[in-house]
Amino acid sequence: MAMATQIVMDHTGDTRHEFDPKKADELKAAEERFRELTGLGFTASERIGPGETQLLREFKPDAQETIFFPRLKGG
Amino acid sequence: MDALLRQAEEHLGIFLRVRGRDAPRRIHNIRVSREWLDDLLTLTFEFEERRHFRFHVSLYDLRRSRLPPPHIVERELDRLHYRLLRDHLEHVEMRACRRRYEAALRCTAGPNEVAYLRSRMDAELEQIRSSITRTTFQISEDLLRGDAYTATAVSEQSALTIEMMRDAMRRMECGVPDRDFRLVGPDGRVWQNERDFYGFYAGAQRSLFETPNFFGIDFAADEQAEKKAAKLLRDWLSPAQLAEYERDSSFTVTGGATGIRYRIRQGRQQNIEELDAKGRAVRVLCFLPDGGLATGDVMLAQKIALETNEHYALQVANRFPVEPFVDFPFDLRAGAENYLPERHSWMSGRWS
Repeated sequence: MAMATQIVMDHTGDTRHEFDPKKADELKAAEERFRELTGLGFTASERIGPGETQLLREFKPDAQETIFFPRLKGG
Repeated sequence: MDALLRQAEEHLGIFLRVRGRDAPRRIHNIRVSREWLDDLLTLTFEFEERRHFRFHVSLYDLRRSRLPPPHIVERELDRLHYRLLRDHLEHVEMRACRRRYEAALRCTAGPNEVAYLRSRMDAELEQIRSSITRTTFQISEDLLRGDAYTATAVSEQSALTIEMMRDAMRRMECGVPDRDFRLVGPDGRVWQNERDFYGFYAGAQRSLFETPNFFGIDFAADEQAEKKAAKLLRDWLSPAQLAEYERDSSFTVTGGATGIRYRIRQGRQQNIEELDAKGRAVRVLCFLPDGGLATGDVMLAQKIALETNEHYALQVANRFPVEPFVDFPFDLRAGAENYLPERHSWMSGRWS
């Protein structure tokens, strides 16, 4: 399996965190990052196809690309 | 109406006297106009000595204020004005207060500190609400000195500018690194990536009180962030959406829960249209991720939210009409009922 990526939207555009799902320590760090971000109100979505995403409420170890964006607010 | 004018004079007089300015003598009229490009009403107080004072009211707030229907008589217009005045003050002051605390909350991670800040914010908001009779307009000398129609109108943005600058200064004094920001002057000049908050603050003060100019301030993603975000958006759009986006600078998404279609236009705010079966916009929605993200990021977050978590997105979204809400300008004293046809639902309580 190729390297997986967590993409976090921020004021620089985005910050990418790559990890190897086969390596337990990297997987654990990715899971912690997922919990930390969702705990802060970020929404996590996994890319499941071209232009298609699905909401992730729990960490999914085999997700290849997960994108995080901050809590939504009315504008 | 005379009572209303005298009240308005009193408000303005207090405001000016505490700033060491001459109070206006007599207001002889109040005019209402609509900014044609945005969602603002402008109320202009006209003084006998040919001075003018203007302030802006968000139509969004106006709609939320549940104004009294249905017959437009002078008494109702008086009420309308008071609601406008009160709502405007609440809008300016409370929003500035929220922004201050939100900035502090963004720098705070500890749950106890967050809870403390939230409780302080709630207390301060309540205080503002209860003492809203104070006038807190930010006003330019120039507006009172000369002809308002050649001067720059002072909007709520000015108040926010000062508040945000003060906040930026506080953050800097506390050693909190801030994002880059840009200042946009009314003449279109832009200062970007400037870090001299003190200089900006002083400049804005001069601008507010010594010249007709005032600044708008916007936390902005820099050019590099915009490029990265635009690339990310393109990568995550479906082929059909990408083709549409490259053709029209907008793309269509389908709500994951309702099947309703939405058009997301290039932009960060009020850039989502809910479409009917024939593809016509029926309302404008506004929601975006917090944090001053670049445009592409905002649009991508809006797409993902509508496709995967539509109910939540709709829950936080503010809604705006597609149609202009009323045919301004009209004169409050000149039989306004002629200008407020029944179909404008805000007056008949049918605003949705």
